[in-house]
Amino acid sequence: MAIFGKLSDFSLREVISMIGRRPGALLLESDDGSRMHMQLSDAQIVRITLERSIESVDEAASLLKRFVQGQGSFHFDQREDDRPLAATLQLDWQRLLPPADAPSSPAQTRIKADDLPHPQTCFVLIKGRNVRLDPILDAFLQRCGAQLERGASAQQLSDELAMELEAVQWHLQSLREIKKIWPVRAYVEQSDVPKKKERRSLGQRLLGLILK
Amino acid sequence: MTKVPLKVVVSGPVGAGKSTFIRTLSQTEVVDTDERSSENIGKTHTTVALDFGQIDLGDYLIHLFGTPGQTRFDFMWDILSEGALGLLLLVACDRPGDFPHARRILEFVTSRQSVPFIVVSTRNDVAEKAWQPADIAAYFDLPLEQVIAINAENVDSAKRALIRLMQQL
Repeated sequence: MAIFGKLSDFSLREVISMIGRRPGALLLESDDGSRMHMQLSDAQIVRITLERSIESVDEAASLLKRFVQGQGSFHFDQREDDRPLAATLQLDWQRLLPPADAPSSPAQTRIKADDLPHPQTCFVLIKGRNVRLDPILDAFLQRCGAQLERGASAQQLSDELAMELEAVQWHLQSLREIKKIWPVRAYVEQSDVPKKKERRSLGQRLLGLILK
Repeated sequence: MTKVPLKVVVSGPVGAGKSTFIRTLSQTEVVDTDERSSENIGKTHTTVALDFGQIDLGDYLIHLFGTPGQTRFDFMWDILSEGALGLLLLVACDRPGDFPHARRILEFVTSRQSVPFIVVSTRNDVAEKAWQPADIAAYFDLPLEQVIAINAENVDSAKRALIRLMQQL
């Protein structure tokens, strides 16, 4: 099992989030060709190699920051062997990465304009999740926390806060990537019970007809 | 007897296999709106309005509507998804660079329309290096049963996507 891609398409935070607690080897390759190998286990980095073994936390954090801004590529191979690795480090990802930031201009970010949330996509706040935010993003969340608790789109927030739509989209995308906000699932949240039962029954009938 | 019309929307980024999927499953001649691409999108022709096919299931007639993949046609996603029985979001398993765009489509539609959906991974038969359904599910933050890998050119395989969608209703 492998996941791979460019860090311009996936933030390092997203990659880490996808890997979760799975053990395996993550290779980060920068555009200049340097390759950083990491062994992961139970959401911890247990070994880092970049030409040599890295054993200092500060050095590891500094090396990781090179990949946060979206340069290079990644490849993760899950390890099927359950046996624990001999650890030279015991680092928590979340503490190593800098706080999520909200770029002030597209040029400062890896997020492509086409991948920003649609202006009318509705998001809700995940109240129970604590995340580290940079001051700009934190201030944005302070301003629109109440609206996001009820559910709001970039377009609505732009109108209510008198902020540029694109700036709101960047902020929402940054919050989305660290899972501080979440897109509303209208299907889950709006469907009433009788309608759900009716739908399920229709699904069963259609299933029977397709399988016939 | 009049058949009950049901709408299933097939969406996804350019090159995910939406037109192929509809052509494979449709029992009637597919209406398509392919035009020569005016942008470099990796293929010569692309859907500019919609693809349309039908599956006759006795009392029910499933209308398959394929949305255009390019961002500038995004106003079509909402129009086509309104009142749909379900949404099939197609992604090519070997093109992870398209996943953020696919997620954008999915989140826009599902935050506005009460529509059940699954993510359908395509090109599994031809990809040299592919994301597995479990990894795609992790990216979209979905349970594994909401992601299925198919070959969009094979009727039985494509039908499995429709079956999985019905199981999600």
